[in-house]
Amino acid sequence: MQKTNKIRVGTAAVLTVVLGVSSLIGLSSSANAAPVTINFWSRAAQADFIASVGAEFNKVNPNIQVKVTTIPDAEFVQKLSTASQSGSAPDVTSVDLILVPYFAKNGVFEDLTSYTNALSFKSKLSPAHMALGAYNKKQYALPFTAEASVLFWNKDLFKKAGLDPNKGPKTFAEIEAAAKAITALGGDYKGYYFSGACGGCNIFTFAPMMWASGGDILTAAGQPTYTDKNVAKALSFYNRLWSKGYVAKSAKTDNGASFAAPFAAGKTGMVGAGAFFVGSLKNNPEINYGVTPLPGATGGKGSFAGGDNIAILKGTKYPAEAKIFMDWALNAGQKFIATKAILPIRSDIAASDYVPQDPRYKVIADAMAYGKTPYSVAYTPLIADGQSPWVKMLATAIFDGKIAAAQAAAQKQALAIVKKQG
Amino acid sequence: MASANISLTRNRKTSFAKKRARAGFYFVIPASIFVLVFFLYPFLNVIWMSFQDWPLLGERSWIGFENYRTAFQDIEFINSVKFTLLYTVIVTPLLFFTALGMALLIKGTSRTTKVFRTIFFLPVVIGFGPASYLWYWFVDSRVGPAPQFLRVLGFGDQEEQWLGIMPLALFVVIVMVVWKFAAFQMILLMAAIQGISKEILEAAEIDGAKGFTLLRTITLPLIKRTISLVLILSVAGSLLAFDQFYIITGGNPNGSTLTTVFNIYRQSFLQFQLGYGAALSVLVAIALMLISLIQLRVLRGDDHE
Repeated sequence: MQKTNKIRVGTAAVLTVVLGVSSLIGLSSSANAAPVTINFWSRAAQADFIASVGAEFNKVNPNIQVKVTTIPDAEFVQKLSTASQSGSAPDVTSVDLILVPYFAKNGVFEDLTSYTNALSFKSKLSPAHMALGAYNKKQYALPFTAEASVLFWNKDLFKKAGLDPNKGPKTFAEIEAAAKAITALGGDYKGYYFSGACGGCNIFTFAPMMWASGGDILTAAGQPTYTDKNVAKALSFYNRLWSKGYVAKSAKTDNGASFAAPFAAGKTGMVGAGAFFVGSLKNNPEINYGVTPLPGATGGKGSFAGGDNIAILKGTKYPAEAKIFMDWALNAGQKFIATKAILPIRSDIAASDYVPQDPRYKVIADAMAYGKTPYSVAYTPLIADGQSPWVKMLATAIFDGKIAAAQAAAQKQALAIVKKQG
Repeated sequence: MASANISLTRNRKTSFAKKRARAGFYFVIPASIFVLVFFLYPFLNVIWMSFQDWPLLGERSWIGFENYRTAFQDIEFINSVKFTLLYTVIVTPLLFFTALGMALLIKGTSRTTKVFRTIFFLPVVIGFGPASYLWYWFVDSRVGPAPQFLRVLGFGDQEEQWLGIMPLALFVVIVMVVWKFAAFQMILLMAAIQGISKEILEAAEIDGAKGFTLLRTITLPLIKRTISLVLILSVAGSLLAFDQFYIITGGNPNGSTLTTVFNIYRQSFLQFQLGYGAALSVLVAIALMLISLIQLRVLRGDDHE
């Protein structure tokens, strides 16, 4: 038995070597004919459509085959960091735009400045994506998919609660009043929902309301300002929604596992979410909803201009092929993702291929234009970490009501992080 | 004559022993290589890293004992150590006594006990990750069956998330771990109990020992080695707890269920300080070695086998 195993292993080893050598020979003798395989990474948040993007490209480019790998969002930074150091990085990656400064600072991406300047449609590219893709005046990543946050409201519940179903709330007070009326319907009905223990979710849906109220947690240069008094306004607004019982209790521990899902069940009046949610609500045709900008305390509007950038990894063996894929991703690829209910990053393609699909898409496309994205090389430690100053501030302020103390503690923790990460 | 005989036997013995020793040496080579490559080398590497300011990406620099100095003043680290110890102190006896109880129940060989043995053992087969997700949703106030069950029984509306309240969040994890791991210890203990020779037990019974006395004076002392194995595994496993807290509580409410290893993971990959994470790992490894040594000493104690 053992002998046979040994023989089998031996045969396998010999076979592998032979095959390896023959494939090497194959490569060198017909370098142009054999299709080149490009490894392409994406975070799992794009799992719904990213495989079809790769398949579409492969269909029209038989000489270059893109192999798509999706990485869990929470592990993306560490996976790409370690892979880039061990030489096992992909050739091209889609990357949450907010993470680009960190990778660009550490020299993980190829410099695309001259490539960018040669693009005829450069002015049509999403400004937020371009800003986040730049580091020290060089362009390291280009826009790929767009995502903006807006407020979703359930028109049927508004009607049921005696509110005007066709008017989305425009201030904190209006949200609060609507949430109160809907919660008063009793039973499982709740006015509002958010994922209280999820840093990324709240930078997407809560921070815009903070920004629209004139507050921010970071300066343009990435210095923490967690103690801002307008940040306090937004925190105390969420604290009121929570302590008055307008939000389902599960919000407190929700690490993003539910995110906007309770809204899709039809018992939640309002939720902050993005373009992706319009796509997933197609599975719930019974939900009659509208979308409106996320408001500030006394009006105004805020949005998180999010989505992914696309970047070429330094050290790729196929820079030319990677650029061909990038070309496609910025042109035909944008028209393709628009058919998958994903907001394109080119204003011209968004207007021609995306907005006409659904009147609600216009609100989201507009939000993309006025949206904002924090620029920091320390996004992960400052915001995404489940114990980050951002998440801790939200927990203490919203659920325990200790707003000033929460802000002060977060500021202290954030200063230490910024000092370390430079 | 006699002396020659003796020396001959001795010689034969030594050469045989030598051969045996040499054979033994060859036998441990594969395992030693494994330990060298997958334990010793990484461990030395971690020690080397722990003396540096080693970010996830970017420039590294030698900083001596700075990381260790930071560790002893780091409230987050100290709290995580306290919490991990608390968790270990609670979960170890719970696991052990549950496992022992189960082992005594199913030590027989009848068909029913076999069925129960299988049922008890099922959770062990599930991976730690899936089991944790299972429990995360099992206790969810919105869709979980556990709060729903209490609602039906009339214990309030159970609207509050259990995982958002401190002792309760820890309690959920502990119940999950006992559910998942007790049967593993049960199998070890059961095998040991079945290994006790019938004569001893019968003799003890003739002498009038039964029930709890039999267990305390005969059974337990005879399976002492297995008990010490089980306890060492359990303590080491608990001190290194990560997955269950990472998935079920995320270290919350408010960082109160952050275990030492979870904190090392955070410091390394979310706060980007691999060097500091390495220093914390070294501290944990040293503590673990000391605790295991003490346990071995205490549990071996007066073992004359």
